[in-house]
Amino acid sequence: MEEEGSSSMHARETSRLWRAWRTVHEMVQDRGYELSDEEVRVPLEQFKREFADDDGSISRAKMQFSARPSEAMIKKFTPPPMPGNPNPPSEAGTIWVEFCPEKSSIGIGVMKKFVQHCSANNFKAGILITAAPLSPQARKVMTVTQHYTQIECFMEEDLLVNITHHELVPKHIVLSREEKTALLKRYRLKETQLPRILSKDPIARYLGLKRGQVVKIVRTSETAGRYASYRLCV
Amino acid sequence: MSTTSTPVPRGILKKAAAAAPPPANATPPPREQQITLHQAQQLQRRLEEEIKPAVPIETFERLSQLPRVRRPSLSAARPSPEDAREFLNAVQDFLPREYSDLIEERNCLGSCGYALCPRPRRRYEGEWKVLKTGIAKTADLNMWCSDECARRALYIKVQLDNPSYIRKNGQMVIKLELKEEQAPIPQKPKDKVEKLVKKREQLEIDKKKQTTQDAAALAAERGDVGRLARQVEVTIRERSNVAPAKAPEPEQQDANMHLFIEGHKMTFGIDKDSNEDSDDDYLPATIRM
Ligand SMILES: [Zn+2]
Repeated sequence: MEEEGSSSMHARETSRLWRAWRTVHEMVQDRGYELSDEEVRVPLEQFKREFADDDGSISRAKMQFSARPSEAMIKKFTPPPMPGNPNPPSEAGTIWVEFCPEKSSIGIGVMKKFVQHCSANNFKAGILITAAPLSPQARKVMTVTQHYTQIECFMEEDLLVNITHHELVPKHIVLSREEKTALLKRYRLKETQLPRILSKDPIARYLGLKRGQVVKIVRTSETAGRYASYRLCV
Repeated sequence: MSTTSTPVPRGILKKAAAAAPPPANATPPPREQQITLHQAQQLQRRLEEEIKPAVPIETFERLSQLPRVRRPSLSAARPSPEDAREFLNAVQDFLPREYSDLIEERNCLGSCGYALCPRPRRRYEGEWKVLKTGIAKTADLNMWCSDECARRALYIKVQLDNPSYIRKNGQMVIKLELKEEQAPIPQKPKDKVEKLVKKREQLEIDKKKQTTQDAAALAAERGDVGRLARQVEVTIRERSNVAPAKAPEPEQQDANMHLFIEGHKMTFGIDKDSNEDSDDDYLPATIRM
């Protein structure tokens, strides 16, 4: 009886983790990192084989991966050359993703360890996926280190479904700095005149939008066909 | 506008430019400058005091590791003096919210939320827990190792919420003290002096209570109802009236409604009692009377 209860609990948790694992892979791929479709579309059975412990439960500590930015992404996030800096380095770099095994809420210590791991290995970005919310001070650690490593945190339950796969969510495309300048020039706008998207908006979090970036939103409409609108991340 | 009708604006500009510099750059009155400087400095100081810098993360880390001295003879009720001093000195700078953050940070590490307690926190399962005194949220209970520690931590929190200040090294700091621990055998104070002290303490407490009550009454009088409004149990029920709606009908006495003109009933040619009579018995009122 008890055996059965724990095994069904394992099954539920396994399925949850598998879904979060797939969503975070899709997210990283959508952001422009190099991930093959085989790496993204992992079947449940394979997932279990790779990450289950002897007792059948999934080990979050094993669930970690890194991904390199694609050529297109590197190009997109390279700032335009300036007289003083003819070859500016790209802002895109390797990303590190980790599932936090901590079950109760996440404190300063856990967060610091993650940030230190990211900076020690020269990761430009890090995503920590947790089962429990962050403590207020741990959240502060995350924002303090924002200027050298871009740290993001998601909760497992936020990743159970991929929101961008919903039919009512239009396609969002991040503009490069040059594209943004061209857009503002073409419509003779100041960037503050654009409509806005909050950086805490679920789509903005999915794409990892930073303040000041512009996202192009392509909708299909029965009456107008395809049309694009632009939003500035604030 | 009308005065600047001269077609050459150059003249005006020249005058202004020529007129402006001398008073500014000529020997400034030192006294006035001193006063201005003094006022600016005071303002600066006040701004610095009002916008308190956030407590550094390292302080939270340090305090969440307390107590540093762990010996079997020491407990939350009898912390080591060094730990108590460190805790009180640090928490003096805290905002109430930051104090709550510290408790949460300790809970993340599995420790009791009261910073001077060496024991781990409780770990009740489920959302609610039935106690002797009632029902409580497990999340609230799991912050502490015991109810005593909850009370000790609350004692600090109350002092941060309603701070009273003391002067220390020329600066005003929040007066903080640990909750007084009851002695293991708190029965009957032995001598009169002790009794008197107890009584005086009670008096202090009563006085404090009275002050808060007075403040609350005053606030209520001034219309600060938001914080004081007592919670009233409100149950919203659907009305169980299910009879079909009826069209309004004139009541019996208004059967002569059609005879009213602007609220005045015409009596000419009509008798009050003739309501039930048919038209056949029609008699002019004058005759009837
Ligand atoms: Zn305790």
